[in-house]
Amino acid sequence: MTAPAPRPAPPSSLGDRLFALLAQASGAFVLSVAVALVGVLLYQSWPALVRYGELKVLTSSDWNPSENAYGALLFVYGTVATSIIAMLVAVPLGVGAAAFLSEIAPPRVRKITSFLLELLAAIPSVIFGFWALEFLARRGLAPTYKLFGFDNTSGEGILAAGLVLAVMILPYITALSFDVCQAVPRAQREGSLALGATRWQTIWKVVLPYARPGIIAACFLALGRAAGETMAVTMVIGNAQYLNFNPTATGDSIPSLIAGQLHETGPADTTRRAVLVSLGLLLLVIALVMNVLARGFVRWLSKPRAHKARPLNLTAAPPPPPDAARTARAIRRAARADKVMTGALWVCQFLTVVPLFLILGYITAKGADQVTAAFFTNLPNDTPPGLHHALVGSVTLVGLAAAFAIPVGLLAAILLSEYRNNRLVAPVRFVSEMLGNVPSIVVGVFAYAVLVYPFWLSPGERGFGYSAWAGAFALGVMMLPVVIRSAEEAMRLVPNSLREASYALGATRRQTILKVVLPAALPAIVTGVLLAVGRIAGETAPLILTARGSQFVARSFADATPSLPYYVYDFATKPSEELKNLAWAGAFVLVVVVLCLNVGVRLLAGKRVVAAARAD
Amino acid sequence: MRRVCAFAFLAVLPFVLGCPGDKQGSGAAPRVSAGGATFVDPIMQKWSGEYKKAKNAEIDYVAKGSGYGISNVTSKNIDFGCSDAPMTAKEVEAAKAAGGEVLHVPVTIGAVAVIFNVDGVSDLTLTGEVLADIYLRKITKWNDPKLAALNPGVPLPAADIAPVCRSESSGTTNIFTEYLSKKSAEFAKSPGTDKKPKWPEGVQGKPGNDGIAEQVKQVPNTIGYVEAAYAKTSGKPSAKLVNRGGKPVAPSAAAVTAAVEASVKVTEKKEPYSLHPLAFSFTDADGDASYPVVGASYAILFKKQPKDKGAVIAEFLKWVVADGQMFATDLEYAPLPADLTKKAHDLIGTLSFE
Repeated sequence: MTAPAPRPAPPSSLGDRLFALLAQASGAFVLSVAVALVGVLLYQSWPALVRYGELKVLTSSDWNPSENAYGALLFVYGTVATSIIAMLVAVPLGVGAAAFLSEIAPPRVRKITSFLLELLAAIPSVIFGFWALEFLARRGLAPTYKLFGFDNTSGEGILAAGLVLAVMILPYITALSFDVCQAVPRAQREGSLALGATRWQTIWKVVLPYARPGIIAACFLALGRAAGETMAVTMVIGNAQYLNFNPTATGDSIPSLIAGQLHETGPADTTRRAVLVSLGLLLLVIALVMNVLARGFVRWLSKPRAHKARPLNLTAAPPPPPDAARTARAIRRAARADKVMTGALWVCQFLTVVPLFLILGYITAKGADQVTAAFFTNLPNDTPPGLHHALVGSVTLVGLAAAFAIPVGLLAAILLSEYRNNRLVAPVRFVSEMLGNVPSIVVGVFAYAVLVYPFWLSPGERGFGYSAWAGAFALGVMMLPVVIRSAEEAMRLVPNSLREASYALGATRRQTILKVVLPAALPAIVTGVLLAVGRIAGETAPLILTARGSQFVARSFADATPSLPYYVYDFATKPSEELKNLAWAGAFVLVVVVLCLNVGVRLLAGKRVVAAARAD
Repeated sequence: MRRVCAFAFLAVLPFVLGCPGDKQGSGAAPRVSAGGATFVDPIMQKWSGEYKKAKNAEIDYVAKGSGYGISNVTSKNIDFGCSDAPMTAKEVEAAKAAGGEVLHVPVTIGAVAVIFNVDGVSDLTLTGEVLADIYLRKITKWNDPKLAALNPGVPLPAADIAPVCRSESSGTTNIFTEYLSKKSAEFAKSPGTDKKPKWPEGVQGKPGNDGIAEQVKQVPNTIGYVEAAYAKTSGKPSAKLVNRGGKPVAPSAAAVTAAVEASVKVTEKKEPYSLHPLAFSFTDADGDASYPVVGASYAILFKKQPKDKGAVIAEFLKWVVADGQMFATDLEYAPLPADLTKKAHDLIGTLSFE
């Protein structure tokens, strides 16, 4: 009798448990970041919130902190007015362009346009601001105002800020609306066309009504984004602190106020600081409410809807046969309307991509010549000046942020995709989606309050100060939701049969994830991560409050760290030609880097989908 | 797949290589983190460059406005700050709670020039009263009779005046509004003298002296107030201001020195100047040659300094108030009077290191 062959020992479960623990810890970390963000903002603004009525923050527009007047109504108005102008311009154009792309455009046009829209969405907001200041305000609106006799010689103001916001949210609205238009079932269109409707009638009466909830959701998301935008607005709104309801007047907005004043509130300025943070909290609430509303609309869309049929009245006399001449007229009219509206949609589509060429063209014309060797090797005080320190600093900040966000984000995504029964999954998914919609300036306020000048310090103690740590933390928090989302989506695309095969061969869950799922999902994950890097590389608003700038190359992570977008912003308003040319050169280099990342990633990944919105 | 990986590797490589790490060895030059007033920025960057060559220490000055300098010194985010407005009683108190006594070391003196951008006009004379009315938005046209009366024969257009102010808390604004408040009772009531007062409607804000200079340079019919060095880089003409002696004076180093000589004699009894031994108000000075809008910029730091950095800062400031003054005239600043240099030197000597 032979002894039975010894069984191979089962793989140790310790590693597996540790791995699961690690994924859970990452998920818990994401949760705690979100909780801390809300908690810190609430705690910091509490002294103001309890006195909101007394300070008249939302009822007065008398903003004069040195006289203890904290009426912030004018900033709220500036934020609301610019957002409304942006929506009024961007929604018709964006929805028109989406309808055109989805229903009319030949595949080639659709492909090219969606690619261009993705590029437009990838341009950093400080570039929009610089372009809007130099081109839109000074060369576009100023002469127009002069022509119509408005008292505004600089062209800056609420209208300028609203228009640049419109350009910024256009790709967002277009991409999301395009997606919902595509989701309209084919049968709906075919039914409409079979009944003899023209293409325009089909779009207007069938496709758009069917897609309406999704389009409304897209508008809410875009509105949330417009309200939280900092750089582009602060550069063109005029920074004038009075309330004037004329759209050609100058004004100011909440994010612009925070970016300009939070870091000048010292320990004595507790009330001003609390009011500023409370306004940041207001931005956060606006963004989250918009997001929740959007989700509500999407849920409404996904519900099957059945309309009750109109009762047929068989006893009534049949309607008289239509008059042939009238029918012919109606058909002609419909054909004419079809032609006109098709043309109008063409124009919408055209207008959504025109700004991209205006921006790229203007930045290239101004900046391409200015990129010299000195730009890469010299410091701002050298002759000729350069931005070497900012380039090194940007790489440092983005690298540090990525080193923090990629592992955490990847593990959290593994939790979401591979441990779906875990109790943490639902809250982590919710929170990471919300984090993705937090305005960047709010993340900056958070990092400032936690690292730069920690709120728990008593007077006289030192925090991290302006440092790469603080800047990278802010950027990392912004990058986290993007990494989580793209990695989770990538892993979900891995067919289940692969996992089943792995388990069948006796692999543990950890082995399956590390050896099967991750390698299969890697290209898509890398694509997502690089897009996220491209996005944070151009981020400016949180860096103003955290990493700040410096005249030298940062020597450690504890030093104030200059960055390229920060210096584009700083040098954009320099009277000296030399420094201003540096800003142009910096803008050009920044755009080239960000666009190369986008184009390169897409070419390598081999798919060009309309996903400008999904890349955030 | 392999291509993507290779691309990813290449994309991540610079981040790994570019990380500076902790390279601050013993041989590296000490670095002082400073910031604040944009008023001193042109000369401060010059000093920073020269001092690095001379003494191998890096002064990292980031200009973000005087209010920023004061509050960030107090919260110890920077090692020393600069402000053209001395700390107010409230700010001094906050600083006392945070780190004890603060010193105000005057580092340079300069004029606040009133620059303008009007087609065909390069010579403009203004009085304090008229300037106050422009910033109160009571005079809104370039061809206003009051302006025309001061400038006979100057082709002033019928265009709107677009005044520009600072969008952040600024010492230059403090000097400018102090002058206007002395000249106009209405201005003194509101907006009044402040680093960031509440300007009337129609006054547009820009960050930094450079922000105003650039705006005036680019946008026609604007008027703004900047330190004289910025007026020069903007390439736009500065207005002559009528001083106490009734003479129109342009902002020049000589006119600033005249104002300083007249003012140093007067001991200022008003806050915030009375709070600090070497703080002076130079606005609206006596004398026929004095330019009326003049201010000093102060380096603000705690009296108690950490051992390593404190010594570097003290050395630098001593160099600034003595040798550093030779760069002043070239950059449109006025050198500190010899007497003030000595007093400043003594004040720096009272720093304690621990």
